Amino acid sequence: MRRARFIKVHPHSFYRIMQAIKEYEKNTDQPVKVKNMLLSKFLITASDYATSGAALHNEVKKAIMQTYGYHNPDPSTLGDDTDMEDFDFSNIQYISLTKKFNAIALKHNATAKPISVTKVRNCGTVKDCIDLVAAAADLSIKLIQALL
Amino acid sequence: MKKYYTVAFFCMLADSAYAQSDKRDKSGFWDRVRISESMETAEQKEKPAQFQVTIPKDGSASWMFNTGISYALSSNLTTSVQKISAEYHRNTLTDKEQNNFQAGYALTQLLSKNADNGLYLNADAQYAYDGVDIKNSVASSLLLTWYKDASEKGLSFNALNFFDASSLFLSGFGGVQLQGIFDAKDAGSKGFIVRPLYVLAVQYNINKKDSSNKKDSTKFSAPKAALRFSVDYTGRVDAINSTSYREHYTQQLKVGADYFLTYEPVKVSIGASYNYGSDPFKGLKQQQYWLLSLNFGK
Repeated sequence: MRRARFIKVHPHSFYRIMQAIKEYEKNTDQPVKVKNMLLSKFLITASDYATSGAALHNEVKKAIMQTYGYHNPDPSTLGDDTDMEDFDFSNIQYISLTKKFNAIALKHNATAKPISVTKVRNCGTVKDCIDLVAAAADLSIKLIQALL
Repeated sequence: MKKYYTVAFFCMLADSAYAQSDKRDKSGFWDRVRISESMETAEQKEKPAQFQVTIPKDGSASWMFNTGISYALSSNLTTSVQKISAEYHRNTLTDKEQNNFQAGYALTQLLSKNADNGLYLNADAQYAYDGVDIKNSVASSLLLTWYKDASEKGLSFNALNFFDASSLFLSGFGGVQLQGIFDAKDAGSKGFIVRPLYVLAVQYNINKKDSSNKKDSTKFSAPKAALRFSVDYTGRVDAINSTSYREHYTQQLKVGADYFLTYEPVKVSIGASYNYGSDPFKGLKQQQYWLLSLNFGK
């Protein structure tokens, strides 16, 4: 009997791999393709990264929706360009959200830099929040030594 | 009971000054400004600032102005928000005039380890001036509240609870208010007052049918209230009072309903509320009145 084969990759590592591939695709005339599909798009399509609850962007979206008041939310329904002003969070909610963001960053990188409430308040969109947490967790291509 | 039917104009001046890039940075001056009816428990959901002026052809003008404004200070802190705030309450429309100004520093601090289901402190230190009784005070409020959001099962507190087409907001604060009246026209008013107090608030929203994502019904958008019913109650007692005037137990009740006409480009709603009671610190004397209002907010 043929068994399905999967490779398990930590979302943190997958994110960095994807960043590296996208950076490479941007700077080359001959990007790697799988049946006319860019490798980065193929990997996203073939993996469950976009919908995985363990992926950083979905953890951030879930934290925002739970702080707003939704039990067991589906983070994939929350658009990156959603205005944070729509949630009308109070100071207490911003403190709670900051604590959640710091926990997410620490989960992805034990040496993550602390995120302040002021920085969370300064986020204009959901995407800004994702970028803030990713930056705090050092999920940046610039930190991959092999590419320096 | 004397009834007042007034039209009040509410202004929320929160600006959305987006930076000229994909990142919509909200660190500008107006992004940090919050305007509310009062800053005492500004954590409770919006109580829009109110003002009204009536200038008759003959006779003196009448005022109703209930506004608090705060500015969040920048910091690297991860469990607190600091702000400077000021509020002004002027009302010559009701039976007993109110003219009160406060300004100072305020802090919201997480006290427990868990931020999703934990204890928070709202504290402030203020200067207060009462223009009716001519009193100058220094004052501080220390109010505790519990916060619980949807990260865990059960009803949320100080956060919205969503149902099919409606939402419920429950809030409560308890603590103490300290007031030192160091200068007063009436020498008997000078002294020190300690008031244990509690604040309860309930809001029930009937939400608009979502029309923002007609193209993609699977996409989330934050529900907006079409109709809101609210009840606010504050109870306090002057447990320690070295002035010549005892307050005993005082209370303030506000029951209201607001119908939201539109959210774009600014929030516009019409509302009606019944107001009963007093607030000695804010110079609001015991009275009751009705208020019909037209509200603008952003």
